[in-house]
Amino acid sequence: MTAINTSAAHAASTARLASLSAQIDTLQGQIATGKRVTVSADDPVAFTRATTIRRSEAADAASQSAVDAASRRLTSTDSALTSITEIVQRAKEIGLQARNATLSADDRTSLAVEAAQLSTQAAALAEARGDDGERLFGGAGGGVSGGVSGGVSGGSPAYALDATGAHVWQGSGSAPALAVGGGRIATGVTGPQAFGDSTTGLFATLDGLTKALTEPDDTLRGTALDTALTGLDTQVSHLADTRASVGARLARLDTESQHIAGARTADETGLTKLEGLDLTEGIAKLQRLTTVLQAAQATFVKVNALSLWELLK
Amino acid sequence: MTDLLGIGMAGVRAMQAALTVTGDNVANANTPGYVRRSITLATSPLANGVAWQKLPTQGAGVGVDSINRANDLFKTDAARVASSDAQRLTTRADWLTRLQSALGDHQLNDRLGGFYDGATDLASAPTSTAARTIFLDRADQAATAFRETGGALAALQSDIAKAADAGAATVNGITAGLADINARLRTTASGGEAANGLLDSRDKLLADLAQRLRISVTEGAKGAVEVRLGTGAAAAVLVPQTGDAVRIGVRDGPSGAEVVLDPTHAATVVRLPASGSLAGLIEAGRQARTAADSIDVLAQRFASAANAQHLQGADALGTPGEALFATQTVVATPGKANAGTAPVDVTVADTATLFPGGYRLLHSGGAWMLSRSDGSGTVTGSGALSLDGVSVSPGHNASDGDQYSLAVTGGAAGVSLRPLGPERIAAAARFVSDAGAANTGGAALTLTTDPTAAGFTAAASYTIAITAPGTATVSDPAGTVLATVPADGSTITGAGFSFAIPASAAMGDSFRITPSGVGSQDNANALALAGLRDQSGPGGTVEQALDAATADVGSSLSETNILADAAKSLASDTAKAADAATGVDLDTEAADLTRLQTAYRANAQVIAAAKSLFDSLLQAAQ
Repeated sequence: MTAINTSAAHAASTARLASLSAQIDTLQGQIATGKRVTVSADDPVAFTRATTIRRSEAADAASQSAVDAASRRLTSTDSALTSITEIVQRAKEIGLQARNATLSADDRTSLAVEAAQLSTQAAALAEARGDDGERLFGGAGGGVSGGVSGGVSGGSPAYALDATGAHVWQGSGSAPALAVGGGRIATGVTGPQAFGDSTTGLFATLDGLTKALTEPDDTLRGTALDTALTGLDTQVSHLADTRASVGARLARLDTESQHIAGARTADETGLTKLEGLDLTEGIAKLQRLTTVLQAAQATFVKVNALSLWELLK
Repeated sequence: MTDLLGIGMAGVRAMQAALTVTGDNVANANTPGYVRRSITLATSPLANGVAWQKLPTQGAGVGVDSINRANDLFKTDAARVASSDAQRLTTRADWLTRLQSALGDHQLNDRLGGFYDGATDLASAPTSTAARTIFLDRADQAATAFRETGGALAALQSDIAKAADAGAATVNGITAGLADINARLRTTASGGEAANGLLDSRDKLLADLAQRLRISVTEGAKGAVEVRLGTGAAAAVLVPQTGDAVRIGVRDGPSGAEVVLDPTHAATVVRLPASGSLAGLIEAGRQARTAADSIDVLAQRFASAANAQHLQGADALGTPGEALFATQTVVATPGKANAGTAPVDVTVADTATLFPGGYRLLHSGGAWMLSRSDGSGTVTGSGALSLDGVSVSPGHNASDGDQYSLAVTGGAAGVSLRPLGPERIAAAARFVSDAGAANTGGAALTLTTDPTAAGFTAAASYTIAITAPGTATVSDPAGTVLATVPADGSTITGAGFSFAIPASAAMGDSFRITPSGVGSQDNANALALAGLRDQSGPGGTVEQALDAATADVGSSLSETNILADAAKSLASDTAKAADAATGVDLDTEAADLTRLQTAYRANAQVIAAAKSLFDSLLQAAQ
């Protein structure tokens, strides 16, 4: 027979009650937070896995904002290229008009004025900036922005005129890259990629058109206009190619966004599975533990009331 | 008739003694270490055994033979062993819980990830001051998290060491007490209340000792005990049956803390049995040391990888990047013999060139002397001192001869963000390349920064032109040819960079290599900094290695908790079993009390009967 009225027996009973209370407390905390795993010791494997998932969630968020920034930049690039394409189309119309119709010198002069304006507009569009204030066609070394380099702001132009009046690209390298799925995508096109070089490129061709229109000699003008028109055709098709390449990159970024969104959903689900507490199960367990604790308390009181001393009167 | 009176008196006295023992039991029901007493009564055949008296035909009542302690050696020993095991595991669990907090409380994991994510953010806005400032903050956060975690682990290790010292001191107090009790037991008659009291104290001390160490106890004459550390014949004796106890101490060994016997004279290392709170403490201490070591290694690995990559890049001013993090610091430790209590503040300048052996600070003749550990470069003064960029400002309350050693420390404590402005973040590669607009091949150069490369004269930029199949010229902006190089994909050493021209480059193609200028939009180095996250080393990436260190502590704690629960319930059961044999059960005492009271009354009745017999006799004689 085990003696029940010893101090060790009392201590053992109270320790059991305390252990039940502790279990209830833990469970209550889990229900309040909805989490089964809060520290490594709760479930080292699940905790490590959850850490990895949370890390990839944060990395995905950073990747998504990088993809968004790249998208914005490429979209701006695309719209600048669209505008420039329209300019080149209009220049081509002017060229054709001057080549085919019998125009007076005055008419040609006004066409020449328009062509010169188109040239200026194209040059202005080549200096277009993205939403971060950087020159879209400057490559890596296009502009300097926002006070980073000690007060220099605005940035340097992507193009400058040299002694001969030709547009020379001032940038270097290529647009910032975006790291996706192990590869790198350039988030823009450089001036030379979009508009060619200073002697045969877009600006040279547009300047050629203006010059041709102001040529007084009919034969020479005819030849010059033909050259300019051929050049404009080349530029139109080159711009179309460039826009296609930008479009392809935008599509790639779209896919990347979807991929990231999918990964984030999967991470969220995974996290809930790993760390989450099944509430129904948790509450049922709490109910059971509370009942056991109440029963244990009642039993403790009953058993300990069975003392002979109560009967010694 | 006198016999009957005598018998009655003896009975009353004996019952009184028995009632006293019961009362004592009840009173001590909750006294730790008290062992239930029981009384043994014996008949007294010769009440006053006088020589000439003729042999009595009847007994002469009852007397107290002895008062015994209800000891059960096996059960007591089992309880001691079980409590020793439980103490080891609960102590280990307590300290591992603190270790888990120390590792996790400073968000090292989140802040480390934040650094890499910050580099990704920087790469998507390389020229934005805001993105650069945020990146600096993230770098600072990561360094701070390493320092805080390292600091928490160091504090934990120091707490464990203090607890181990305190534990050893307690053990020494207990063993000295046991040696003293042994001496007193030898001079005290057995079976008496004095001896029983000493035995109670002895058992209490043994139980206390068993909570701290695994002991084996051999009981000798009169209850004097020999206590050994651990079991078996070869186990070291802590308390001999006669003589002084052997002191123990805890000191730093090659593989963590170790227990030594007789620390002040002939220190001998003993193998500590895996039981008792001291063992749990030492085990937790080893685990804390492992965790601290891995955090130190990770901090240095993280900082040096980030530094190496940052040095490869160019900042917003177009200048080469500098190291992002400092990896060393100086920590002052007061000498053990210092009489004064002056605090010493140490600051290390960013530009400091630290002497690897560290420094010494000495207070002598009212002045402070700071020198390198090899004695060179002494500076003297009454207030703040500075040497090699290490500034020391000693506080008040220093005594003459006080010394401080200033150690150069790396690890997690040494990692801190250097004071860099946002423009100094090297987000760009040092050199960028582009292909000529008229190129036909679509080929691109492969370009890597190589600060030591000096293949040809440095120039403001380089133009590479394919002049013949497989051959190219490198010229400066003025058109001067600097070098003629192969264009077949082989690596060419440049000036601060190296590059390769793919064999696919067509005749007439041209390329440019330009140093990154002021405000470059290039983000190659920021991408490379973000890519450090995937750089593998021992134990995988830095983050994976950190996960492993956390999981190591977590799984060890989880396992310890399970074992501790089992050990605690076993300890509670064995304690209950031992207590059932040796403890006071109040019900038993209540029953005894009732029985003895009845017996007392009965004996009193015997006296009354004897008196009435006397009275009858006296009346008859009247």
